[in-house]
Order: sequence, then structure tokens, then C-alpha cells
Amino acid sequence: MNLRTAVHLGVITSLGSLMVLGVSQFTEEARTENRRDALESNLMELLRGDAPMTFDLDASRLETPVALCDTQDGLQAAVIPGSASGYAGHIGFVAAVRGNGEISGVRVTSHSETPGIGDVIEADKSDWIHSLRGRDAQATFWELVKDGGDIDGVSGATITLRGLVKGIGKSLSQPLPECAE
Amino acid sequence: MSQAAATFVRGVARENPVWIQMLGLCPAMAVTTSVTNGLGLAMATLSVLVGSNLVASTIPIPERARLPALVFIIASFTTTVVLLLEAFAFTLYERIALYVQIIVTNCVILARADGFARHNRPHIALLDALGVGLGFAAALIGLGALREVLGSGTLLSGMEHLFGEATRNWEIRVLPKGFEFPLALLPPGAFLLAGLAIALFRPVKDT
Repeated sequence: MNLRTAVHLGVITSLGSLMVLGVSQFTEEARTENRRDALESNLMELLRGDAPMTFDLDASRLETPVALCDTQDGLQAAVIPGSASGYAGHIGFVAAVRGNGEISGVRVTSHSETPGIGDVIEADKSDWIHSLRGRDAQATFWELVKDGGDIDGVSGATITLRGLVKGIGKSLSQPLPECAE
Repeated sequence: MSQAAATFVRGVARENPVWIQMLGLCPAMAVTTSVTNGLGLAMATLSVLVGSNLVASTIPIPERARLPALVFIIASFTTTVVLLLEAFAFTLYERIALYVQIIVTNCVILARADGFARHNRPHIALLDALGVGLGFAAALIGLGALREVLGSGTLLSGMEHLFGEATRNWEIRVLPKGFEFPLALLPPGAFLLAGLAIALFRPVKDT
């Protein structure tokens, strides 16, 4: 009886695994392509014509800073992923910096801040994140104005923005990635 | 009404999984910050439900190990749906993948597979899955609509993530800007509104 149950379970799990394996194989190409497309279109939006419009990303996820290089002029821009602690957990973001150190844009990629209050960090809900564009990554003092820094806050979202601004500052204090010779 | 039709209707109304049986309350409250999210999760749940009910009514399930067997079947279908979403509906995948993955633990599906599909013929189990799935969808869309109107002041925003760019202008503004009530989007708001809905459905249950 026990053996029969075991064999029975074995058959069911093999069939289920076969189905998952089959679908996984069948969709692999489309899934990788989707991830890469999504990442590229996010980066394109961030760089908006400031940098070479074609770049080659090997990875479909952005985990470390990526240098966007031009064969003659060297570093055009760098895309830097980072994470900050907000009011309700981690805030993931991507910052794009031009070769001359100017911020080309920042986008929040994941967060769990309070809807309607902390979501001013989302690019399509508020202008706040767009105000970072054009700042000098190194010369900016990455704290809120009320903490003595350079960045304007939004009332009601102080803890969210304080955390995010600090996180951005920390990521940008690293040297920019270099281009391979 | 024939047995088949009765099976279908029962799942939608008199035995609505969320409002009457109070199953699947967790996903019902977690995702329903908008109609779009509710609809997306409901469609994913419906496909898993149809798959697992069909399999549970077709192949013999070992009596002594029916829970691991059924959970495995449900997990296989859930993973398949997640993979298909990632391949063919990527923007939706990015929004609701986390919640779709926890369909595995949605007790509505396990309850239907174990309590009903196992003892019935495939076509009856299929009708049951469709009925219960639509009942679940109705609950999610209803709660989503309520929370979206109160919390964001809009209806049907973000539909382009489900049905493509052409549906972007489906968004309707119901409340003027500044009159939103963000509590409705937060977990406590979900509990309050779901509690009200359950209370309103009491008369249906008692008839």
C-alpha cells in the first residue's frame, strides 16, 4: 500500500515537472528577451538621448554599475543600480550619470512605501524624482534641505525621501565604472 | 436547472468563494488596489483552477497522499502560468508576479480540487472551476473597483498593462483630484471594505 502510494506520487510529480520543464524551455527565449527589453527601455528613458543610443547589455538584470562607452570618446554615461531604506522597507533604484558627472535621471524600480504618500518617488506619480535631473553627482550634498542638504523634500514623505536621498548619495559616491581599453 | 448548470451558477453566487465561503481572502485583499490588478490575478487564478480541477478529476489521486499530490499539481500549474505571463504579458508579470506565485497556497483552489473535482467527472469539474473562478473574479474586481474609486479616485487605470496600449484611455476619473481617501488602498482599508462586503452578503448566504 505504501509502495503503491509512493509510485503514484512519483508519477504525478514526474508529469508535473515535465510540464513545467517543457513550458520553461519553450518560453526561455521570450522571457530573457522581455527582461532585457524592459531594462533597455528603462535605461533609454533615463538617458534620453544623452548617451550612445545603442548599447549592449549582456545581462538581462542590472546588478552592478554598467559603463556605456564610445570607442573614441570613452565613458559617455554610467548606469548605477542601488538600494535605500525607506519608511516601509527597501527602495530599489537606478541612477544614470553622464560622463561629466551630471545626473541624467533616477528611477525607482521597486518600493513598498505608503500609497498616496510615499509614492511621490514614482516617476509617473510626482515630479519629485525628475528634480534630480541635471544635478552634479559629486557636488550635491545628498541630504534633505531640512537636514542641511541640497534636496527639497515633500511634506508627509520625509522619512521615505530622507532614506532614498541618502541611498542615492551613497551609490553615487563610488567612482564611476571605467571603460575597457 | 440541470446539474451542470447548477454547478456553474453555485460557484459564482450562492457559494461565492470569497464573500460566502471566506476562502482566498489573503490574495483578495493583497492585490485589489485597482480593478486592473484584481482582474489580472483573477484571470491567473481561473487558469490554475481550471487546470488543477481537470487533472484532479481525470487522473486518480492517491487517497493517503492526496494533499501533497494536489498541492504539487497546483504548484505545477501556477509555475506554468507565471512562466507564460513572463513570456507573453511582461508588464502585467512585473506588477502581479509576486501574487500569482502565491496562488499555490490559495485555499480556494485546493478546496475545489480536493472537495469537489476528485469525486466528479471532468466536464462537471470544469464547470465548477469556471463558476468558482468567475465568482472569485467578481469578488476581486468588485473590491478592486471600490478601493480604486475611494483610494485613487479612478476606475480602470493601468488597463494597458493587461490589454495593450489601446486600452490606456479606459481610465475614468470618478473623484476629483484631492478627494482621494488613501486608507482604502492600505491593508486596513482592505479589511474594512472586505468586512462590509461579507456583511452585505450574509442575506445571500442565509437564503
